Amino acid sequence: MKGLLWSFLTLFAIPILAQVSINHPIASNFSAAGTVLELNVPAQYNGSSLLIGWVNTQGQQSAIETSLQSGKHLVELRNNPLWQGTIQTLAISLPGITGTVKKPSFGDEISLFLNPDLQTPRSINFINGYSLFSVKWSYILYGILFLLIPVFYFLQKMTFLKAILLSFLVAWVLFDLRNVANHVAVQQNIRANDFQIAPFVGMQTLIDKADQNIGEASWSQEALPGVYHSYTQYNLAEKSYIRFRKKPRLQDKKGIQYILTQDPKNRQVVDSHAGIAIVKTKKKKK
Amino acid sequence: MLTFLIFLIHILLNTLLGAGIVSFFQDSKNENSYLLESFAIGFVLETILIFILLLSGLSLMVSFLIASGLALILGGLRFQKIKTFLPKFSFSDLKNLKIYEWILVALVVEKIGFAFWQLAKTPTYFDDALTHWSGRARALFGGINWSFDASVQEFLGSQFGNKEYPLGVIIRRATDATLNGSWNEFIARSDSFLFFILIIFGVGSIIYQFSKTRWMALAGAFVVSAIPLHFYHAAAGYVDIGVEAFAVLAIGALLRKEWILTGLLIAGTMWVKNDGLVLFFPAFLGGIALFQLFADNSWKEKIKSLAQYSFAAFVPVLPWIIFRSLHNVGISPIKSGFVWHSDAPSLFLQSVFNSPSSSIFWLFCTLFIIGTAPIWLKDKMGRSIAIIFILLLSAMFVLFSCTNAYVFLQNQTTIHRSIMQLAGIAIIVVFYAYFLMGFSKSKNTVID
Repeated sequence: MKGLLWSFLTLFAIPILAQVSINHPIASNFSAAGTVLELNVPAQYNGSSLLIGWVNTQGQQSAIETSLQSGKHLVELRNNPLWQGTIQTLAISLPGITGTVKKPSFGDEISLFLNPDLQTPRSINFINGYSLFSVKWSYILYGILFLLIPVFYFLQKMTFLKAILLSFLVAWVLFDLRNVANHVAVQQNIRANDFQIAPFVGMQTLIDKADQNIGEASWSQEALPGVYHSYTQYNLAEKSYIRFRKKPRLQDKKGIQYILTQDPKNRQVVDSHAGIAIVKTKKKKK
Repeated sequence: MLTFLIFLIHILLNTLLGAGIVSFFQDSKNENSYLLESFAIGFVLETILIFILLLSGLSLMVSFLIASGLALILGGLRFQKIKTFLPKFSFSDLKNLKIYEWILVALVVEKIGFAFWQLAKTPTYFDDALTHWSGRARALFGGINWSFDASVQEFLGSQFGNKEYPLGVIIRRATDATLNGSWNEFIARSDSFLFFILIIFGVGSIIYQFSKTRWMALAGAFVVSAIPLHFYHAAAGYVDIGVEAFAVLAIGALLRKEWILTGLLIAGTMWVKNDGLVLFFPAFLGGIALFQLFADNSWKEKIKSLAQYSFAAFVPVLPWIIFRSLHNVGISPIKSGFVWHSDAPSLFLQSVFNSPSSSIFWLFCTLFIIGTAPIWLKDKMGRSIAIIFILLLSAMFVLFSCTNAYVFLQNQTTIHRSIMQLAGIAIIVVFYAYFLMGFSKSKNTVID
């Protein structure tokens, strides 16, 4: 199968990286009808974000993001309007993950419904939701609600308004029970990562190193990708911070003594972690 | 342990301060929501006072001690009066819960428990909390990266987040860290948890306030607790949940026709997020004006109530408004004109009515409110609170369709948590409409 190099600009859903390559092929030349993606996820990727991209024979490209669970991980794609026809190439953004496209069994359908919606930087704005037998969970709840209304109205002899309200409450309880199950999954995932949450797993080590090196000095950071910038800035907010400016003459006269950067160039690196270097700037000669 | 102790003591001090103020303006007795409103109003007044004292050059610790002293003095002086209106809860109230009520209670407790677990065990994680809210709060606490001088780059912690955003929760978090001696992740977001509690118990107590029906109160509390985004916002450090909390409690005060308390609570919405000034203050003003239009009182009384509400809403936040004006700090970091986006209506409808972030909630609430219009249109207070909800929803639509906020509708981000701010009010309107149909057991109701 041909490898396919994809480049996407910042997706609204993924504030982590400015450019992501989806160039690890999984399958090619298959019919998408009624199929889902089954991945075998190594433990190291538990809780990580994965981009899945595909192009069909009409040349239409699409991509989705999912949070991974280690082991067998099923991805629901049947609700995606571009998951149709013949798929020319399907690829993912992380290496070391194998997968197959298949029609789900009954057990797979239940697994898909119970797939956890893990915490990502996007969760504060948007919940991904669930589906059962490829039907959106919301639609199933509407179905339950509309089925219960006549039950309460005719069989329980309630007034119409009470029947509507109680039907909604029953549907909302069912909705919440699925969310309660997800709360447990989220909690388990966070515990499994020693109370660190992707993409900040391991970042505390960088903070500790920066804290130790910077001490009472001034620091800044060149544009770190996505939420890493905010994360480091927040965790070092009690240290003298100077916003980095590309033109040195605009820089504050106090001067920056340490810089966090992904591109140290020829500067003195005093420490580093997770691809981010702590650079000491040169002192100005008097 | 020290952090948790500070957390509890700070709640008590805020409640004492707020109860002292509430004691001057309350009309009813033994309403559960007075306790919640006392804390909320105390939160606002304490942080505003600390803001003023910080401007005058005092430290966070000294400012807090002065505010606490005031709380103790006021609370002490008004204690006899405070005792008369605070709720009297007894555990025997729980004895006669039916099985379905226990289910609702259990589901609410799960939400609260999980929120507290997040607060205790997880770090600050989401972007706006790392920057505009806890980022700036930590800068204020540290002192090095904060200034009230507009000529320096540390002005209002603007290197960490938008200086245009109000300081309510920022001062709160910085104060807690000062008392604790150090910053930690519990302090960074504990007010989110408090606002979540205010919303759940506020919705429940307000529904009970007019219906005197326990299952309705529990159902309302459960429904609001189960809003999906609340799960993260309850421990995230964002302030949308704070706006929602103050707005919910303001509805409760409005239903009791206590206009000053309504205004003080709306001041809370303005002090935690600019949405309060732009959206909630005018919507509540419209609701009160509509009520007064049909109220059986003199024009003098009508104007007096509007003046009381407006005065109470603006006076607490006046120091911040004046400070902002003096230093040319706007409401938004983005300059925006009005530009209509033709695809905005369909995107808005999709976001509100067909999103997993709210599932069946908004379509149910909207259709229920529309369907029961013949009922609440006949009730003065029903009209008032329904129009508040409609004005807020409409204002959200205009904001996301006609301004630069459209990008947040297009990319499906801020729209969902902005709409979340209306959830508590929507639930109260739904249950009020249902109550008006005459299904309440109680005959002692506040209906106009």
